[in-house]
Amino acid sequence: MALEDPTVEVRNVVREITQAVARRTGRVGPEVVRAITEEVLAALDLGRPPALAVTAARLKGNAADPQLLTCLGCEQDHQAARQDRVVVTATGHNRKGIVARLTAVIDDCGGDIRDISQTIVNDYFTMIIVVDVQSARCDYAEFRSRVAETAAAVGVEVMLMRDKTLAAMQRL
Amino acid sequence: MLWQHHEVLETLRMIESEHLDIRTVTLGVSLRDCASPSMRDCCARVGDKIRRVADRLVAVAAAVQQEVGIPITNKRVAVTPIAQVAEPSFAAEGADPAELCHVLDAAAADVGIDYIAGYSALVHKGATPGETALIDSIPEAIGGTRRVCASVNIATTRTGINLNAARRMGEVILRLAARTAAEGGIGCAKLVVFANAVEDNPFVAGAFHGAGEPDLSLNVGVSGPGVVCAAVERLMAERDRRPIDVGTVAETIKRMAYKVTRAGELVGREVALRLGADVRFGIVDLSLAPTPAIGDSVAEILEAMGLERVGAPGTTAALALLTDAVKKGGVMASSSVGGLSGAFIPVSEDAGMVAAVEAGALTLEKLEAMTSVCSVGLDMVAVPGDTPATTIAGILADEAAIGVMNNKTTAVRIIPVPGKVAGDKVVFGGLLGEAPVMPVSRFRSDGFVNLGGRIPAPITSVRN
Repeated sequence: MALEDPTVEVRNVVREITQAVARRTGRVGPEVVRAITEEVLAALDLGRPPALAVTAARLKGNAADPQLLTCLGCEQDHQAARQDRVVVTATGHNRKGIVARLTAVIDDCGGDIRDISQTIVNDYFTMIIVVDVQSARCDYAEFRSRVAETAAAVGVEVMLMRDKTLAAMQRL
Repeated sequence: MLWQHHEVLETLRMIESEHLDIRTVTLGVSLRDCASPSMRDCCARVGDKIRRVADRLVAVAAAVQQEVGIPITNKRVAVTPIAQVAEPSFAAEGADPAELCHVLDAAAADVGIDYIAGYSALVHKGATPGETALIDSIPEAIGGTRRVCASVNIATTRTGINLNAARRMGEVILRLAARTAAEGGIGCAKLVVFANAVEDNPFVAGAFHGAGEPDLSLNVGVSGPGVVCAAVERLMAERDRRPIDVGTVAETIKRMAYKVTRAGELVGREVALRLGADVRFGIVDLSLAPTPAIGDSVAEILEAMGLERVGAPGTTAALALLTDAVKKGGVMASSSVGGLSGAFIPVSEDAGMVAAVEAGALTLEKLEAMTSVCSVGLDMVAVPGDTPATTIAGILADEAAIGVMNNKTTAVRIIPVPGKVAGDKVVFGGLLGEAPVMPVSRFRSDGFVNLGGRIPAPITSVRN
């Protein structure tokens, strides 16, 4: 959306946001809203036009964000729901290339490895990989089947689950 | 490390080698909007509604199972007690209630669910004409369908025991066994006689969608006797190294029940969420539900506590400890605990129970005592085919009395196996397992049962 007059745009958006916040906190009169608006505008450094358009656009974007219009608790929930992690556990007899092949397929799917640990006891291999799949290029079912295929190719058993299962069962 | 090794590996062990599963996700469906004075209309509406609302249940459960990583064994639907929905239709000239049962069966097959339950009547104080018609139709309706389950509530703590209904159900059970004689009377595995039936039980055969429920609700039945058993066995193996008493056992069971329940709630909420805005998550039923698989047995838990065989003196006490610890762990884990919530002790579905009966350790009378401290009652018990209807009615009344006097749910799922005598064996297959035919007292109950009427509600019912 084109911004005709960045100054006016920013002023309006800041006022809208302040009013939205005020409505939720309650018992805040218009004079307080005005004061906060002025203070925020002063802090935004409206004297620098190039920065202004960016700020306006960013504020506009934020104002449209439904999170801003809901409560803090909802926002936390929302963030938790966005954390999209899968725990991949591989077990089997140790051999060369297990870690390399599995991590390669995870990378290929666009998964971001957040944590990895591996132990070998008596030539028995156990590896746990925590993958952030928020920005994965494929859906869960495809991710799952690709990882499983690779695991089968290197001769290890693999189990996948969203980490919310662990969160539910293992943490109070 | 985001997750500790032992946390991940314990969770996997529970699923892989200790049979942790979600026994059932059950979609409760109100059929009250399907009532019609025309049987044809009623059938059409019931079929349409089930196909419409349960259409995605199986696919959604499969997707959740993949993501959560825990198997969901059964997908089911529970409906409003059919006698309440179809009262006006049954009143029509020449209406056959069994017709509606076939509609349920066909709809269940179309949406791919395992069972549909709620061919039910609640007659604890008396029966309407529609309820009487439904009860009389049970042998033909349930005997002639595959996926439909029936239940009849004959008693509550508030109203007492309807002895007329008990007597009638004794006859119905025998007729249903005869109708399915070719398969060992398997029809009776789909019929439960209740006292204090609950409205949100997700487990078949006794599930129905109660009058206080919303239009659609999603209830979950967890399982996990194998998980509890393995934990108790590990604990007992530590006896040489540290002092362990029954209190320690209870504590261990509580912890496991907590974890199992959390898994159940997670699955329930996910499935409900994905089914759409009009489906509400209802409850988690904490019942430990065994399967015929070795290592998935309630009997084995009791034996792991040190009983030589289930049925040995001390069994009732051990079962009381187990049931109570499961409830305490589960209640800590979820604010939505409901259904039957306790421990099931079906005979045919539990390999340990079958072995105990065969070894002569477990009798019908001991089972009855056990039902006073666990969640349901005499469940999947096979008895000789020539057991008189009045004897079965007496058994129903006894179980109802335990429920009514103790303010708990009890149920009977008894199978008089046509042509079999005590000591024979009957094989049902699948989750229903196989059962030794148990001897029943040869002393008669006719005089008492035929008195009929209603056993008054106990003094504990006057609570207001």
